[in-house]
Amino acid sequence: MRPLTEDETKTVFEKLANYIGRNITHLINRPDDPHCFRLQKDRVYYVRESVMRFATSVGRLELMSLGICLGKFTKTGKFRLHITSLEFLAQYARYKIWIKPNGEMSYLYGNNVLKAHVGKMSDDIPEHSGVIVFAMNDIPMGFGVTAKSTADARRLDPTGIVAFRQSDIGEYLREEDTLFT
Amino acid sequence: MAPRKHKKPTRPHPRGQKPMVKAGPASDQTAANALSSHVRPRPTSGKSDGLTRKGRKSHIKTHGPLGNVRVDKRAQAHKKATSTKKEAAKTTKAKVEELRLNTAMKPAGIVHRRGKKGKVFADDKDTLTKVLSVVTARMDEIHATKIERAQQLEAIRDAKRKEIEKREQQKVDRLELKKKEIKHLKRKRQNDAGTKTGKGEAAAQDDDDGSEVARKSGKKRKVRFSV
Repeated sequence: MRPLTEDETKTVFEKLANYIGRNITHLINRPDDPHCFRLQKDRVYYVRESVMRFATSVGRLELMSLGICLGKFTKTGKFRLHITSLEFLAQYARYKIWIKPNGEMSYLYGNNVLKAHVGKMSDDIPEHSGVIVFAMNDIPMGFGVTAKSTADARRLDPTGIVAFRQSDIGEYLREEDTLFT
Repeated sequence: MAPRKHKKPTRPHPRGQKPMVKAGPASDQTAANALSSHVRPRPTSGKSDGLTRKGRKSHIKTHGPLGNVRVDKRAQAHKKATSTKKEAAKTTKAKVEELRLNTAMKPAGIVHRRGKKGKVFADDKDTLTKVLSVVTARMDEIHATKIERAQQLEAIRDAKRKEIEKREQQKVDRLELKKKEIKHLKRKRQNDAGTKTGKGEAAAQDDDDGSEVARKSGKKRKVRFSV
C-alpha cells in the first residue's frame, strides 16, 4: 500500500472528472472525516486516514483490500472505474439519466440505455460524457457514457442507444469472483 | 687429483626448465670458478631440483667467499628512488589522460536526470488540489469545446432546415400561382367563346368538369358493357 504518484493521481482524477467534474474537491477536502487515496497492488482505494494507519501494520502481500475501491489501473496505465465507486459518483454526479421500470432489468443485465427506456435526463448533456444512471425512484444503478447529446437524443428513434453502459450494479453478482480480489 | 665427474642429467626436466648445475665442493677451484657466473642456489632438503621460490627470484647474497660482484648500496637506493619517481610520474600522467578521456565526451542521446530519484507521491492536500486544478482546467476546456461544437452543429442544422422549408414553400407558391394562371386563362377563353355562341355563362359553370367538349359537340356519351 502506498500513496499515488502525481501521474497516477492525474489519471484517476481525469476519469473521475468525467462523472463528477469539479466535485472531486469534496472527496479531497473532508475536514470532519479526512480521507486519502491509496494504491494497493493495482487498485486505488479511497480510505479513511485512521483506517489507512491501521492498515500499515498489515503486510503488502497479506492486505486484500481497504476502504472503498474506486477502480484499478490496467497494464497499459489507464484507469478503470469499478462499480464500487458508484456511491461517490452518484452523490456528486454532474449529468444524470433516469430509466423507466421497464428498462431496469435490461440495464442490470449489462445492456446499453435505449431511448425507449429513458424516463428523463439532464439538459445540455454533451455527447461522450459520463452520466450516472438512476431508476425512477432515484436509486443509482450504474454509470455510462452518452452516445448522443440531449438535443440529439430527443430526435432519436425508440430503439436508438442514448448511453453506453460502463458499469452497473448487476456486476456485484456477475463479477462476484473477481470484484474484490 | 683428478677432477670429479659431474653427473649428467639423464632426462630433461618435465616442466621444460633448464637443468641446473649443482654446486661442487668449495675446495675445488675450477668448479668454483665455473659456478661463479651461475646463480648459486641455496641448499634445500627434499626438493627434486633443489630450488625454492626465493631461489628462483634471485634473492641471493652476492657478497661472500664465492661472489665476485660487489653491490653499491647507495647507488642501488638512488636507482630505486629515481625509478619510483619516474613510475609515479608515468602513472599520474596516464591517470590524468584517462580522466580526460572519460570526462571529455558526453553522449548526445543520454540525459542525466537531476534532482530526486524515485517516485514523487501526491499525498498531501496541496499537491492533490494542484493536480485537480490542472485536470479540471483541461476537462473544462474539452467540455467547452464539446458544447461549442454541439451548438455550431445545431446552428448549421437549423439553417439547413430553414432553407429546406423555404424551398418547399417557394415550390408550393409557384404551383399555386400556376394553377391560378391556368384557371384565369380558361375563364378568359370561355368568356371569349360565350360571347361568340351566346352560351357564355353556362359554359363557364361547367368549366371544371371537363365535359365542355362533349356538350359542345352535342353528342351523348355511350357506354358499352361486354357480355
